[in-house]
Amino acid sequence: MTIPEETQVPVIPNFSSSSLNAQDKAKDHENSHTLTAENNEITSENNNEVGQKQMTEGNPITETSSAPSSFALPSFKMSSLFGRSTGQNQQSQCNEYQSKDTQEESQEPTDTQVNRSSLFDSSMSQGTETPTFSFNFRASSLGKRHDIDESMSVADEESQKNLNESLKILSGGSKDQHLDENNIQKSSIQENVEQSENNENESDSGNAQLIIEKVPDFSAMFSKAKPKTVRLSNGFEFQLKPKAQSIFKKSATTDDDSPKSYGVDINKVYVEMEKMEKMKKLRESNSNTKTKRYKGPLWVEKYRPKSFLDLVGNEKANRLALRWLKHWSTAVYGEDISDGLSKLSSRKNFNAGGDDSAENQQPTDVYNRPNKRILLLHGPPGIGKTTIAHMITKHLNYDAMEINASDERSGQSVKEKIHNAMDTHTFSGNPTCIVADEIDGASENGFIKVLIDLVIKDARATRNIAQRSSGGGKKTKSRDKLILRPIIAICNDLYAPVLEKLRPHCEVISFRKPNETQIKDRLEKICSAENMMMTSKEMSQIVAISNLDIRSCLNLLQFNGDSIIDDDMQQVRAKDSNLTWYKIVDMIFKLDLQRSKSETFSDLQNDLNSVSSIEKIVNGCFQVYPQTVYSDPALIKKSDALGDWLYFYDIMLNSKYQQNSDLVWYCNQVPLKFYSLFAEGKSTSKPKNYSIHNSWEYFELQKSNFDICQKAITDNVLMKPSMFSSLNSRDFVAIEILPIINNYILNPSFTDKDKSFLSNGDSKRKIDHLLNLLNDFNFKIENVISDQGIKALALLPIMDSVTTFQKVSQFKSLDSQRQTLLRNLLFEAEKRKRAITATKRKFHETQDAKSATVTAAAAKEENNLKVAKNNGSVDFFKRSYATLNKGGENSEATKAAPVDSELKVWIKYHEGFSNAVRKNVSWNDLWS
Amino acid sequence: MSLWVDKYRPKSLDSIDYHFNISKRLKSLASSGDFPHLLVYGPSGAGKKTRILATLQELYGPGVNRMKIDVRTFKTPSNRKIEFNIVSSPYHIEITPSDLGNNDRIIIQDLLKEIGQTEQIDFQTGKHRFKIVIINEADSLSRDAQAALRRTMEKYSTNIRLILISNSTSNIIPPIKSRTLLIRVPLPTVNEIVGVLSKIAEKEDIRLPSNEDEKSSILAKIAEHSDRNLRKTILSFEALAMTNDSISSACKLVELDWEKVIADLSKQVVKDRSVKNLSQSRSVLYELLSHCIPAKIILKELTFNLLCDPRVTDPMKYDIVDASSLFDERLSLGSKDIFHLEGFLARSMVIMESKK
Repeated sequence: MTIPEETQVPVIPNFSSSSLNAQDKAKDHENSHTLTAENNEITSENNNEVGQKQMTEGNPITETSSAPSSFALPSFKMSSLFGRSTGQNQQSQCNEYQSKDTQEESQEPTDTQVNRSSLFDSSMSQGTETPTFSFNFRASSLGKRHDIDESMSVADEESQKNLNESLKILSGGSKDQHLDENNIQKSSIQENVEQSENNENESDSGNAQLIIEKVPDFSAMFSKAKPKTVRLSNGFEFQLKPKAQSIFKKSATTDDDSPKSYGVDINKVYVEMEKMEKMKKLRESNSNTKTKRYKGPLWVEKYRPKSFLDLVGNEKANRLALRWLKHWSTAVYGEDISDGLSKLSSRKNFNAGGDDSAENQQPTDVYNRPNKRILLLHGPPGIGKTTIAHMITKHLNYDAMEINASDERSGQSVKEKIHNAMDTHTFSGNPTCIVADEIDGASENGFIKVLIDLVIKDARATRNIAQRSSGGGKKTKSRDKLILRPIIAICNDLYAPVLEKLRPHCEVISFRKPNETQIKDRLEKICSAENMMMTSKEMSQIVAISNLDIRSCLNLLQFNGDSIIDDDMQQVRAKDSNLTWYKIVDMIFKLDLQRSKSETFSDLQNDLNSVSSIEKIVNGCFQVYPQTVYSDPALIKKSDALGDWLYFYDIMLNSKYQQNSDLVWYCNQVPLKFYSLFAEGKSTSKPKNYSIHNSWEYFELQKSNFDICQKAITDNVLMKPSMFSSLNSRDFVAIEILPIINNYILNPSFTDKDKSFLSNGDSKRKIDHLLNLLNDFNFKIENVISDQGIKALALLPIMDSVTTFQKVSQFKSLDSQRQTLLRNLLFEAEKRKRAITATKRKFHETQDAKSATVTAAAAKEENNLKVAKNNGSVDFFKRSYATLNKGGENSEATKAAPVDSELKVWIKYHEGFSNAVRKNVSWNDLWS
Repeated sequence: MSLWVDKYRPKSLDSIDYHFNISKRLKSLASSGDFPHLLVYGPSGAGKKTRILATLQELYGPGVNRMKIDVRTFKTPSNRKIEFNIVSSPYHIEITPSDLGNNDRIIIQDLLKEIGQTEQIDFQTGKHRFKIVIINEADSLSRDAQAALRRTMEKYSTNIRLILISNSTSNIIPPIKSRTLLIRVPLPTVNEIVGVLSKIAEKEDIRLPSNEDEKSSILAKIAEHSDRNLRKTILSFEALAMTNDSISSACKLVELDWEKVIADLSKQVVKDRSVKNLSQSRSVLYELLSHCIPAKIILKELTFNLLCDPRVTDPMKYDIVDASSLFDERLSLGSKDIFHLEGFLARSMVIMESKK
């Protein structure tokens, strides 16, 4: 990533290091993320760093024109932090980024992505005195109007109250801000903003509508700031709305940093001061807050988001989920939403099933329900999946009926429950929405099957209704029920085997971990509500320790608040969470000279006990150790010793598949042996090659070869039961039969190559033998196009990968050697076939009492064949066919037309591309 | 009948060319009308299957040869469906349960019970009411399957007779051994093989040296080269006949690729005893395994190649054999072949290094 950090933000030592950290972290991210996602993460993290930087460590004294313009809604959209007014250059660079990113991500932009561009703050400074505007785009495809929150800092407690009450919490500007009020700049919107905006329109449209509906008119609230309308060159119209500044950061100032310093790094000093001050306060308040904190409800429950906008992160997913649920309104409430929704949703229409072709195929539902009747939310724990499910149900006035792992979920009981929920009304009068939580733990035959049955029955019922409405359908007495209440399923692991069958019936929405800033914003809010003091660094630590899990963040905050910075704790927690197998393998082969060996040893032991992928680790060690440099006085003693340990490992691991799986635990000791044997601190200069895929490659090859052998048994040997009973062992096939057949028997040598194959007794015998073989084993000779694109005859099935070893084999170009042979075999086979058809025909015709002529014809034919036999091999076909042709009247078509004095031979091309010229060609044209 | 192995397979007990006493015993068994459970064991290529099929022919007549192949599906406890090939004739049924790995127990339980519970009625003679079940590769049956077998053998003994075929009895649990009549079929001697080969050559009109001594010496060479495994001998004889016009002592014997690879590997191990070589040989081992060569066969070949190497002294040989047997056990107990094969190489390198 090439974010021009230097130019965007004045150099702050602290910052650059932390952004590096962020990058490292992103790199270390497991490969579960796709590359683009990772990229995206890096950018967003960087951006957040930047924004956060400005918040926390910003220099209160600003001298330049560049100033941060907006802080919006910590809990709601972190990325408005991104908005900084910088020079035009950087701005355009950023924009390029975004458009590029959006294109890359156009399939499914991540939430941060959405945020960043939908709430894009574009600004352009034209001079030092030019004021900055910060736009908050809300895309709505309806009228192609964009509501833009104009960033204004209004230091007004009252207005802030208003805002908080309203659904859209806009934040008021803080009082502490010194210069912000004046930092309003005019901006012009660049072309690429529109581009990214347009991209967003597609993916984001509709969602905004739902929210916007509920947004009170800002112009009413801010009487002094009227909405402005901006018209772009391409006809787009934006409305600029006033937007307030964040207040959550009481101590932080939002001014941008000064590019000039006064000899001292003022940021650093400031941070130190701030921290000290806070710690002091903390300690003072410790006595009373601590006890208070442990009392009362769990924070996790207390601060469970109450409204849609309290949700942290995953904005897009949240909105998708909300929209999905909104689609049920017609079915449930009888509302007519078709106007708003269907127009809104140009691309991501649930009804359309994603694309237009699906729309054509599937008749629109009578109740206008989403096509996929079940919503499946998935994502890692602690990011608010259950919360969002409950939130949206509440939001749209449903009563959530939760079925989770704590409930009885066997088939029958759950069926009753669901039917009860769907068919009845609750006392509150609200319809129910089923929330099936922790569905990946349900049993496949129980709950999942009930759900699938529901969907299938519903599909049938819907079809019936559609048929009836179209008039053509016959009235069927069906017990199929429509699903008239939404069902939301939640799981952690989308690819759990139990969900395999359910997945296609579900609208899948994936949740990701929110990023650090988003969580921190939320935590800050909570801290301030709980009167707790935390520096942002501490906050970051909490977030890092809990591995971006908000729930555990809150738990940590509540019960561990002061001691979070404690190093031990961090170590302990961090270690438990994220150690990938290759990191451990790295650790095993590294000797830290600073620490004693026994110390590292016990550390490693702890690590190994906490990881689950012991198999990967041992395999990795096994692959890596030959590459490491170590001293072995007795040469290979160490490898030998290793053999015993690996045996131990193998036996222990095998117990997994037997009853006593507790032995698996001892496998953890094996990597330690690697450590004690091979870690000698002499690091190899070359990067270690974790060629686990290497062994995997072999494994794949082995599987494919097994398959060939198995196929050879079933397809080829099986043709003859008697053969099967003697040659059915796969081992024999692999080590004896196939190699000998392929490399020797089917590769005969003819001493008299120049002469005819067929006149010679020996060769004739061999060819006959081969033909029998081919016949019995069901081998085929066909034209195969090789990797190099050369078309050649080959024997199918291809067995070379089993029978030949590239290194030693003398049969390197087996098939090329075989060409002549195969051609001859083909010819012979063809000839025999003809002989058979000839005899068959003969039989027929004798029945037709035409025996006399036919025997003559047959005799003649035999003659012809004899002639063919006497011909040479090189231009074999030509001459033999020529003789056939000269023989004339008796040569026959493959389609075996009744005997005629005039016969034609047709050639059919099975391969090739030329359809351009198709012309009947006679033999004479070809050969004479 | 295309391959000579198949084409010249003796059909009746009388026409089997060697081990006449075994043939005689089987014949008298068959003629008695009743039949015990059999466990036929012996090295591969000795003619176990041939003998059994011939015995069946003796017992039931040529109807046994009307064989067909069925594909049956079974359900595992985890509800997975597995397909399984069964060769059957009106009088017998032949299965290879080891194809299914750990699921072999299901076959034994389901299939054998099913067969055992239905009674065969022969209207013509009124005897031989039992059906014969041939179980191939009985030594690779899992413990569970063997345990499932033992009670079935007794309970349904009126209806079925089992013939187990295995390479050795060591993997077969004692209760089964005690319930069966053990018949060992040893490998034919070189002279017997020479006799078989010259018979084939005569029928196939293969040009062999006219000199009787020379001819038998060549055939003996072929036989020894294939370790007296008759199937392999006939296969390679056929291969020789195909690649050469006439078989003479000048002919290059059939050497399979994988055998060559193992020979090279063992040479390399003797020559260069270092870690570097060890990691190179790992890739060779991987390649062998990926070509479906069973690990035990690799180990066996390696051991024999090492023992035959002139640079390996006698004291080394003892230790190598010792190590080989140790790692053979590990191969059968463990499941990670590559670890143990490499372990064996490392061990033998250490042995050669220390006994230098």
